[in-house]
Amino acid sequence: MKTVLVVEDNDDNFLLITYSLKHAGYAVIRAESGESGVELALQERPYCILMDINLPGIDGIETTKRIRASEINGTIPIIAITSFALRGDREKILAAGCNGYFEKPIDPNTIVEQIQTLIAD
Amino acid sequence: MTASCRIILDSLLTVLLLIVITGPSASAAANNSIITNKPELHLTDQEKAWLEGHKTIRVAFDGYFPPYSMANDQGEVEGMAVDVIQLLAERIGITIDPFPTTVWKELYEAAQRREVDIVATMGRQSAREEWFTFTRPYIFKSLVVMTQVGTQDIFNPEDLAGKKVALVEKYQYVQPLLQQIPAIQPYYVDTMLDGLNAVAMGKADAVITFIGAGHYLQTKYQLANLKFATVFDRGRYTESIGVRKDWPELATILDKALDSITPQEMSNLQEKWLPREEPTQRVSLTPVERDWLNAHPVIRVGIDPEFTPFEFRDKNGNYVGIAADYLQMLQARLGITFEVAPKLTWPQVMAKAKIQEIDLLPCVGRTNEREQYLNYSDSYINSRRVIITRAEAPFVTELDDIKTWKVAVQAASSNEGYLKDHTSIQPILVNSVQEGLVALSGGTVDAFVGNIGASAYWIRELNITNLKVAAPVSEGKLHVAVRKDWPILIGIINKGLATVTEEEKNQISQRWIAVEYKQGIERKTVLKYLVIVFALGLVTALGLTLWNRALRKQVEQKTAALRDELNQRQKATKALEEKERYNRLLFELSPIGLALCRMDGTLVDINPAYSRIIGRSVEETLQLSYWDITPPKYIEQEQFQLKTLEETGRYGPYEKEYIHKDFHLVPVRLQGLLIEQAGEKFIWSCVEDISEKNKVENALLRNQQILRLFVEHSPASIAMFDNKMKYIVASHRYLIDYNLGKQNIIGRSHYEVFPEMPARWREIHARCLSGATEKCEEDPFPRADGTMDWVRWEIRPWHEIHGEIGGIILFSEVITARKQAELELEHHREHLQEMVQERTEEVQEGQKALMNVVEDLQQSSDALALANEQLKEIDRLKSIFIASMSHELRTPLNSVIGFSSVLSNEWAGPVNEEQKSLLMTINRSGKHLLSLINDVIDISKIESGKLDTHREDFDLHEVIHEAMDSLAKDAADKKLEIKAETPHLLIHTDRRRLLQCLLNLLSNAVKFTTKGSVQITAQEILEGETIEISVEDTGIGITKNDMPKLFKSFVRLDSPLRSTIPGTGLGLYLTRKLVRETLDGDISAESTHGVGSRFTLRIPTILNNPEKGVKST
Repeated sequence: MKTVLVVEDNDDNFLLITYSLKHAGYAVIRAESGESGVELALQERPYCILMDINLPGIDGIETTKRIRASEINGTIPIIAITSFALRGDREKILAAGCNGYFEKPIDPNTIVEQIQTLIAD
Repeated sequence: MTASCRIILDSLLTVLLLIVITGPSASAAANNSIITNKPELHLTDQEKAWLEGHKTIRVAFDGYFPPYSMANDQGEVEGMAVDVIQLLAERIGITIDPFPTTVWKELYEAAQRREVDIVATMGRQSAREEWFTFTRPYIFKSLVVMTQVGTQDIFNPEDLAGKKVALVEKYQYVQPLLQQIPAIQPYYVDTMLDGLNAVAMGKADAVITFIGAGHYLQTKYQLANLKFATVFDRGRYTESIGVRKDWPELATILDKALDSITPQEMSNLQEKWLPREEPTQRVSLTPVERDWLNAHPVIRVGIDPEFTPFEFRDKNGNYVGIAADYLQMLQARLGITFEVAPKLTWPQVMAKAKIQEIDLLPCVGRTNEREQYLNYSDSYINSRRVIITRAEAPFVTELDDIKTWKVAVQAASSNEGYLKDHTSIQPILVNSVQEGLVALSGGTVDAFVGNIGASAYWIRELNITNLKVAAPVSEGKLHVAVRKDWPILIGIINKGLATVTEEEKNQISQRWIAVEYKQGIERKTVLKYLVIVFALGLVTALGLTLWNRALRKQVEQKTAALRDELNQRQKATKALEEKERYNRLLFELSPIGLALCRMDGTLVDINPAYSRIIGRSVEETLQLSYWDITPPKYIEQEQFQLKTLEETGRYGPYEKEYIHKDFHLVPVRLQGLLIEQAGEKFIWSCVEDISEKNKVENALLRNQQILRLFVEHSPASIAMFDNKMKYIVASHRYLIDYNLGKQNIIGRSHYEVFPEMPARWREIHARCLSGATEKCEEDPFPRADGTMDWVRWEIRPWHEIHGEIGGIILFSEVITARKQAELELEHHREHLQEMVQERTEEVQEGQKALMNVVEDLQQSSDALALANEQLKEIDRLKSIFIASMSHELRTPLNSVIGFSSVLSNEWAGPVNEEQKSLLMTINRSGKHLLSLINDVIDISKIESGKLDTHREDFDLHEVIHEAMDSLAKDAADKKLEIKAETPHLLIHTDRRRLLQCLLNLLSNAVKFTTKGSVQITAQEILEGETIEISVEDTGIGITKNDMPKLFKSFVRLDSPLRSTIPGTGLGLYLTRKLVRETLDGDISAESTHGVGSRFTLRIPTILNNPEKGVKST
């Protein structure tokens, strides 16, 4: 069973994503902050990482950079989930090393499909 | 006597020291060589820079001034002036932009307003100098007499006496002409053409006309039986180019360009436009003379190769100089061929002349020795023979002073002859002026006697710095000399020289020599004066001796007393003598022109200042009558002054103008007295040249004008008032800002112009008039018409020279537009807030199931309201607000929508049908709320410039199909067909926003259509620069009344479907905003109520301007 690491501080969002992923047959582990996200990524080597950008402490962009700078480097796909986008945000996200992003709201019916498309790219 | 000598010597010295010499420039020499080279203008760097900025010059031509400029049948302007201007433009490298109007009055006024840069032909008049600078004249109009071809008794102007002469009475020259030849019988006609016709028909014997106009009319109306009989007044009337006063650079450049036109080019132009044989230049030779010339086709000419500037060979070996120009003229007018003997030095030339191997010497002075083998023509050049010494040499005043010196002189020159004829000096002979000057400079000789022009030229050319012109020797006259056995040729040459006009002479000498003697006491005057003083002294001395003798005989004891008396008388005599001398000196030195003339205008005595006013020497002036230097237009005024003089014994002061030697008019102020001597009446006049004064006044006017123009054209609202609050000047902006239109407010009171001026303002003005400076950044200004303007202003006093306040200056700026924009922005923000509030309440009421969510929303709305408050102050906060609103509002909605989906999907366990239906309602309502929020956010982003534009390449076909796919389910539910007709087309724009627009249009189409279809059509238009996408439905359509409201925000049109179809009222508003401001296109709608609607959007295929409508952050 493929494991997806969800770095998400908001319980509601996490729960919603979890329903969809689990329904599609993935295992889900959660990190509530950027720091623990980096730690879990190194430890668990998940199939992919869903990264909320708006995190307390270090944000999703910084977290992604750290993961990309670590020994696992580019091997794990990281997909950002953003709830707001101002000018330049998208560029920052991609520049940090995310493979792609999608915007909230999360549609539980399509999220898994979206993730798979982005990973396939 | 010694004292007076000293004064005279001093004066002489002054004269000599004032001699200013400038030699002919090398370029002038090159330009006028007989072999003409391509001329160069020698523009200064400033002039070149000026031309860089003024490549096109607007030129006005008089359309009714034949043959100089006139409109032809095609309406084009042609003529000699047109050709000259074109030639000048070519030389200078500018483009001519012809002014469309050719009516003099209109073009002149336009030129005064500077809508025209130059006027091609304009007579120089002082009244015009307020607006124009004049180039040197380039058209010289001669007044000529025309008669029938067969007329045999009119050959010169005097022959007109007793003849019937056709004249146009209003022409300026007519009255002076009648005064000059009172015996003329005037035959007045209305136009010059009538005058020519009158002569052609035999009604008049002759007509006086300008040669150009006469020629033009004769040719145009084919008056073949007319001829030019004689010249009445040669080249006196001139035309210059009038250049707008603020462009003096252009006048100088044009002058340089005029100078570059060679005599040959000018005569080509004259030939084109003026009669081929100008009668002025026709020399009438007797048959004997004609025969002689035929028998002697070539005349051998000997020249001095170094007699600069009179005659010399230039660097290319061409024979050039003043004499060369005259010779060229004689050659043309007499039909003689002159052949210049090559490569001879001057002594060799003189040797050959003696043995008649040379026939003619163009430029020589008279000497006794030469008289033996040469005949002389009338003199045609005045030159001055001078003594040149080294700068440190003692002062000399005449040749006598240097008779013991080593004096060099050019061998075989007239100067050598002069020394031989007039002095005992044994000169050291040199071969050329050059050699003599070098010898002098080096100390081999102590003085050089030569011609001032040639000497000055070589001093400059050789760059000798240790020489000075020490004293004048004589007024030299130069002549054409011809071998003694050919007296007939002298007669022919004299006839030829007589045809050279004063103007031509001036032109030649200006071209070659610019030796300017500052006017002082003429040597001749000094000598005359010396004689008078000497005579006076002699008489006095004689008288005193006789008296003394008588006294001694009679009363010895009274000797002492009488000696006293004698002394006194001596003193008195001496005083008288002194006084007379003093008076004479005053007369001579007076800076005011003084003239004594007879009642008929003959000048009896004048001082140098007087002759200086008209640019002539005293001698020259004494040849003239007062009337010669009075322009005709003043004759009436003069008659009035004469009458006053006879009645009151004095006249003036009044102002008039004199005609200067070079034809321009000199403004003067004069007054005078009537005196009687030996029964004859004389007029003493004091004349002051006021052109300088006028210049100062003009300069002052100019400064004022500059200030006025500066203020008037300033892009700010500026007005200047005097201390009575009357307008002195106001800028155009001011007139516009305060709706004053074109009314003339200058001189009017501010309060008269603005009667509604509130007391507050009057108080501010009063405070500023007493020295305060006040300003205000935003000040409401209620108008008489009830509108309100906002004004930013500053008022400060201005001071007179002496410090007192002269008035105030008002700077102001109407900022109503800015203010309104601010208010509008404020309004929008408030509106946004209201919108959110209103919609929120609506949602609250209708959807109880979402109560909790709405509470969250309410809280967010409060946060929003709070953020909004901050937003009003700092724009930066707005972006934070947008971000937070988007996050805070959407995050809980995510849950509502997401979990209602999860529940109804039964991922969390089974739900029954009723529950599922309720969950779907929650889900639908949540989605609606989300789309509302998204729209609001998008609009807010667009309005604050925070909306990002992402340009990318994509296929139009593909994006349209994506939009269709999104709506496919909704359409299918309503059994509607969505069709697309779209090419595969790679475009470059914001895909996401285009998709958003298409979705909006499609979803509207689907929403408002109950049966039928929705058709999307896309195509390239405007050569592929634009794509056009239309969405057409067969829905309910839009009524005409509703069309204008279509794209307004929060407007939902009334329709039977309104209650059943969800909508925010923002869809089309947002779509149009996106199309216009993000995609740089536009959207339009057409509809027939009940039949269907079509929305068409047009956007650039390639979005070039991402910044358009999106302010940078």
